[in-house]
Amino acid sequence: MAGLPKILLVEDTVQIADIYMQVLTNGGFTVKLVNNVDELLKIVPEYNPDIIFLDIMLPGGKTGLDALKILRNDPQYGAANTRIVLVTNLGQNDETQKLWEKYADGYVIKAEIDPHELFDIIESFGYEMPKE
Amino acid sequence: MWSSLGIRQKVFALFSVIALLPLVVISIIWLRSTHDQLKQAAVNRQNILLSSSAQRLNDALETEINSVITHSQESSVTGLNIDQAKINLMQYANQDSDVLRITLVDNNGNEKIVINNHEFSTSLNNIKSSEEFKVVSQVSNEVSVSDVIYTNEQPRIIIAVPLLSFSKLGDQNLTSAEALARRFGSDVKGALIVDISLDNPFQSVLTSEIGGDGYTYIVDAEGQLIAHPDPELIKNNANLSSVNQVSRFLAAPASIEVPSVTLSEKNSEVLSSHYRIKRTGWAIIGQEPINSIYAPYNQVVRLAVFIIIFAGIVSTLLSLLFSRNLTRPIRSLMAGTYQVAQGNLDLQIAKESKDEIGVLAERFNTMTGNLKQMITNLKTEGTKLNVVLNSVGEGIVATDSLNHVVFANISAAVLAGQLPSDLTGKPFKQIFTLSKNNTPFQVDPNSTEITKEVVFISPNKRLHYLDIFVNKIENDPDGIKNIITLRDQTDERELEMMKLDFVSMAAHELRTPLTAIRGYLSLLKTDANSNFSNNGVQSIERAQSSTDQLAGLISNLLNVSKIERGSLNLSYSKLDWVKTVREALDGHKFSALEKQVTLLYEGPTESVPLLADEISIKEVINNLIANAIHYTPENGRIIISVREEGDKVITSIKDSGLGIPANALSRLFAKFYRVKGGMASGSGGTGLGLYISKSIVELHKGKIWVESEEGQGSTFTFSLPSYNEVQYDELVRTKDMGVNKRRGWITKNTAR
Repeated sequence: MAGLPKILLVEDTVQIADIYMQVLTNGGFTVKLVNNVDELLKIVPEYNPDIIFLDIMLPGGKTGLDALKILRNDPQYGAANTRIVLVTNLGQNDETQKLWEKYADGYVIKAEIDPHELFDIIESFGYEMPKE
Repeated sequence: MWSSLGIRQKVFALFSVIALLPLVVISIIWLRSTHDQLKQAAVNRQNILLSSSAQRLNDALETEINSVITHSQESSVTGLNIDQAKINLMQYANQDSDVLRITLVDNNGNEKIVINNHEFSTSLNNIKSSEEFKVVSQVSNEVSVSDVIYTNEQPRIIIAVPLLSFSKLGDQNLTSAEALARRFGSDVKGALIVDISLDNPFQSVLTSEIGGDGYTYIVDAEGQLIAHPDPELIKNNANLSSVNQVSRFLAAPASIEVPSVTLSEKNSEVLSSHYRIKRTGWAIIGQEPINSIYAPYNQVVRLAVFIIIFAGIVSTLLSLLFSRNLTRPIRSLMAGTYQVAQGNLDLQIAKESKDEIGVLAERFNTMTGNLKQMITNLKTEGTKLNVVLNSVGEGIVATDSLNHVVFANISAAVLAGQLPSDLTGKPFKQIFTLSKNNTPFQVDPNSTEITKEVVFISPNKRLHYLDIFVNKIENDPDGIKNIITLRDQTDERELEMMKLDFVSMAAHELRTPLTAIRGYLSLLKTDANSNFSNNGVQSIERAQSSTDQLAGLISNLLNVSKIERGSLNLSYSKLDWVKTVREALDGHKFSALEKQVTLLYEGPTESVPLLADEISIKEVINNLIANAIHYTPENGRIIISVREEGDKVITSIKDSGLGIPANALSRLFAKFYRVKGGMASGSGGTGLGLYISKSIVELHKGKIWVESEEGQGSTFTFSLPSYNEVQYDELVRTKDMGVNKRRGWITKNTAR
């Protein structure tokens, strides 16, 4: 796949957002950060990201799973082919399991990974890594 | 028939048999012998009387005849010396009172002397034509004895003796009648004819009675009656040859008769016999009426009958008395048993005697007492049992073979929302409509295991989660077939869910700061701009290692709560098991090296495919290897082997470690279980690893077990089903080749 993917990070926890931003920026990626679903839905059409790292527990009423369904089912966001990776610390329940299998491209448990593994995840979608 | 009789009838019958039967038998024997004796006595009596009578009569006749012969042989008579003969003959007539008339005739039939009634008769006739003279002088020259002649009701006979010359014979000594028979007619000089009255000899015969009513009579050789107690018969000149006894005599005159029963001349039944009189050929017939012979017998019969009737009456009375006495206590027993049957256990039967019936009454009373005690005990037991059954929290329902409710305790009734008594008799499944995993659930009496999480919606619409256990009862007398225990786990389940929610929430809350710490440590370590000393770098690495451990711990807690909820979902994929195991081994190489423990792989080198959840099954093998390393001392050896056995893939992790105490083996896989004692030291485990491993293996439809001997090391083994295509299609939902799985993340590189 040509070029570096544009990345959108949806994360409300400041520290984690900070870490992931640092890792990804230091890695050479273009990253934008939002911390709730409304912002996410606003930014997607204009930013048109290749990969969305989507937290599930988000403030403001709508969860990441709601956002996932909206992005996949509403063509106005043009996110039908966007790689969406759920990033959470929640264990999978039946609902999560179903939605991830149906709509998401990846599932990450934040506490279980080193932040640098985000690169491996991006790579698993066939993107090249930025040159040092 | 006997059994249908009452005791009274039986006693009566028994008494009758005992009292009357011997009496009847003895009576019959006695009567028979009496009968025989009477007859024998009559026979003897008759024999003796007849023989003596006959002897007497015979002797009398013989005497008279001999007397006539003697007188005929006197020389004056023989020589017809009339004067001298007159004197002699008158003397004879005077001497013998029975002589009625003496006639001396010459051989021409002229009477020479006639003595009549002791007087000489002067009218002398010629009696040449008379019967006596003809017989004596012409026919036989023998003594002639006439038939009996009755004159003026007086019997007499006429004896005629020929007068013979003895010189010719030269035998003076012949005086007997036999000798006379040999004389010749030409020597007859005349005849002496004597009329003899038979009144005396006949009377002596006729007057002798046989027994009371028996008598004798005399017939001549033709059966003509010549003497009879009844003078009328004589007058009528009766011939009795047609009378049985007489005709028997006529048929065989010489025989001596044994008295026998026959009909008399008067047509009555008599015991009769005859006795022949030698001299004249007559017979004395003796007879005794049967009635008179057996008169004493009839008396005896009457006596016996009287005794029997008397004994019958007495025995009847006795039996009535006895049976009354016998049945009265029995009747009171009967009344008592009826009362007891009606439930009156306080009744005591009066003891009336000390015999068996008295003992029976006493024992009956004892029995009633015991029965009462037992019933009281039973009631107490029943009450106790009820109290116990009703105080337990579990619903307990007893059902019969049709699975209808026989008994339900209060807890069961409360659960069903009905009264316990309303449940009785109803089908169990009608009261408890159960389901499990959204499908109807039927209680299986043959199941020996507790069925958990059975859902029951009570009439008030409340959802209950029940644990159900069925106890099968064999051969219960009340027909109880199953005891169904319903343990309402709803509250426990809610509590458990709250606990799991809490664990899961707490874990999640822990994860967020952990993620931050981890992230910053990673940034710190990789920041090219920071200048850490070697020591600093090492510290960072240790902090990272600890956060890894903490992450693993939290992950385990979450897994446990998922397992408990039943929401640990496996995401199957096709693995190369050999590769997976060897990678896991490689992963532990460093820590093994650190501990100087040898890690060995034994098994196939080519790939062995397997369907499994990659992440969780790796957790199992990693956990087991980590445990093995942990518990194996330095220079120890750990062998990981893989082999295929039938439709299973078996993996063993064998260490040369401390081993596990036998008492710990059974609980080893339990949640939070940790072996106490020496093993605990140095173990940093949470006690969740083996529990999670077991759960994961079992979710894979496999089995896990351990063999261990203290001091000899342990072998943990688990089996997993071999790969098969059908299951691959069934289980593997994400079949894309672009799936990437690591600990902590998974992606699908599929076209969108």
